[in-house]
Amino acid sequence: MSPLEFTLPLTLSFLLCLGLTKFLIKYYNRHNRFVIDYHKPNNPKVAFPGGISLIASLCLSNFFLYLFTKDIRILAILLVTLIAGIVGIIDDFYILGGKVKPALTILASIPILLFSTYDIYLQFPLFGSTRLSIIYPLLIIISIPVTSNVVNSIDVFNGVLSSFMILASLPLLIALMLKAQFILVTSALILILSCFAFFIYHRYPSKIFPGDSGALALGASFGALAIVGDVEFVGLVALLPAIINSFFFLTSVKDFLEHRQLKKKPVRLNIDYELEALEDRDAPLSLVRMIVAEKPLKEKDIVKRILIISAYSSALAIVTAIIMYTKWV
Amino acid sequence: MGLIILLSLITLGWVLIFIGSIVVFFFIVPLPDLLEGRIGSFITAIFKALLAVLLVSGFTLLLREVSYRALYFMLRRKKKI
Repeated sequence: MSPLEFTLPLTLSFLLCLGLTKFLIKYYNRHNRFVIDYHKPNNPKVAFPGGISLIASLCLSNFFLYLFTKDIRILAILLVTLIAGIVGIIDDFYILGGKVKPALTILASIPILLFSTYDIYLQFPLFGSTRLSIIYPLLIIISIPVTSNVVNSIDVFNGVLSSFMILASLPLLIALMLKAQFILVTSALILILSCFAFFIYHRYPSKIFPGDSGALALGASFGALAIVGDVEFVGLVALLPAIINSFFFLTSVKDFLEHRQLKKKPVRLNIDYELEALEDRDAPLSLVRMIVAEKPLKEKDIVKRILIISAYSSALAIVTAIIMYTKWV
Repeated sequence: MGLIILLSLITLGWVLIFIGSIVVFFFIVPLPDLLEGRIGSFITAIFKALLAVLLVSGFTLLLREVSYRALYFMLRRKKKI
């Protein structure tokens, strides 16, 4: 790859996401398209959904990368992101529900299967790889809905989604560098730079929320990158906080429900605008409930703790990448 | 204290991933085909997948049980404070 082929998609991803997010904030504010941020005094109105800028920057930057490299894996990542993003946009405007949304995200895994951009030899930590010719395609069908929906589940506070994705994508980047997959390294950098540009407006106090469109597109893009790059275990460890959060929630609620459909919430807001854990044994288990179990915390402090946990998980994922992809002999 | 418990849970999750990969790599994947022919291979692959799902479910339940205990421990501490 020439320096231009490398830098153009990266510059585009950052600048396009930055510019488009700024434009969307102005556009939504002018057209009264917002949601209320209930975690702050005076309940400010926040522009919504900002995921369109993330989808546009990820898809367009990956499109240029594909034009330069003609690497079919980049086209697969692009289409996975686009399909998941479209499902998210539909959900942002016409609420799809807790069961239809994960079901529709299965469609996003089709490009990976269609272009056969996966390796049937799954690489395990420490021991090498094994052939999974029948099971692996089935795993792909589940993987994209899982990554997109678990990432969506962690999008609960100002700035969490974008910063979590930056932290979770770093181990993927390192793993792909260790594997010398430099075209995919560029795609991972596109993901990180898009998230960073969005984070500038999404950080506490948020001027825009990504919505399901942003969360599903980012999660799907992350999953696709992990599968086509054959760095699934590193991705799995990096996503651990979001995976644990989703599985806690699913196993305690025992159904695919949206937060708004819950009869009992895991946390409540007190008069000091702090979140506190419900002591009710029937209340669902979630990462946030665990974080505030010991003492009530303000939104900003909860965000800090989620990011500490994410950074720790990313460090473990980097260790996993080093264990798996460094040639020791 | 709460943060340390949460980081320990993430570490436990990480360790379980490694233990799970050892079990899958050394015990589930090498299982011989249950029946002969292509259909036999397919049935064995499904059987192996079910075993892997069972393993992941077991680990998830273990993690959930530990997490609930940690949650109630932290809630009790809050009451004492």
